[in-house]
Amino acid sequence: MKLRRIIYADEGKILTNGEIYGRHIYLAEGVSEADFYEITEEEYNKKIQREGKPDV
Amino acid sequence: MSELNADTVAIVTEKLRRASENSTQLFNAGFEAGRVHADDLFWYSMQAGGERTNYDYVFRDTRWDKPFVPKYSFGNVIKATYTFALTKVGDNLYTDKLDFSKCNSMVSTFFSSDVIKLKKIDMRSCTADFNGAASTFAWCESLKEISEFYPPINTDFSNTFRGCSELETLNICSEITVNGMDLSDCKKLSRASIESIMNNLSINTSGLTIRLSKDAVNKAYERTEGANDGEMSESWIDWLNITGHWNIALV
Repeated sequence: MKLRRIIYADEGKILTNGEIYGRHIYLAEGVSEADFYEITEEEYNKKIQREGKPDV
Repeated sequence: MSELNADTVAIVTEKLRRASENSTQLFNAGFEAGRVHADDLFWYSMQAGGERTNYDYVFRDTRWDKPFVPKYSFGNVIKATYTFALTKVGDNLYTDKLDFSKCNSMVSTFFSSDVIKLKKIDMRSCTADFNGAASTFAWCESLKEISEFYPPINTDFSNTFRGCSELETLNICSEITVNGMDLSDCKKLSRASIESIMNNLSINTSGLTIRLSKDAVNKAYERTEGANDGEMSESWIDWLNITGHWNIALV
């Protein structure tokens, strides 16, 4: 039997360890949940530059 | 001068009618031959007799109301930056002639076009030197299907599918070996597509991440009968067990 560790963000928040972002994250073997923290959606959008469709 | 009788008039009229039909047919045949010749000349010039390799910006902002039928394959293309960006092409690009298998740069190749379906997209030659898979399909808000997709192996493709909100079918045909594939905007991704992704996550990597839409995964795998909200089916759990060396982030 294998177990998969899952971490969930609270409503309206996003989990991250600085590289991985998600609301639910199924962690790979060897990745620690202790490295993850919550950020707001606004911070998330800013961090990965998701302001919306750019003008070209 | 004697008058023409009715029979003679009828015969002459019929002969004139047939001559007119023939000339219309002749005209139409000539017109079509001219059109084909003009098409051939256009593509011969545009594609340098099939030897052109740089298609940067070539069709940007253009409109194709009919099927896109280049004379030569795109098999030699090496650069395809913004090639079809902002085009109005609909489903007219669904052709084997679009061959990007040698292409180093597909930066924004289809950026914000209204393309609906693509047949085969091979990004395995895209290189990190050109950030070659950046925004390839970004904001293709009409894109529904890529029948065969070969993911990049040499470069990041975290924003390749940014804004592809209508994408339903993405059939992965080769291994995913690179970190950060992001399909979190693809809320309509089918279960079959999700499974082709999971099935092609390389087993020779460790600790890499893919991002999927939480809505798409829930729709594909969430139990509905008598289950708690968010509880997933056994087939999803099976996929999680098989892909334990990958982080799977749902957004």
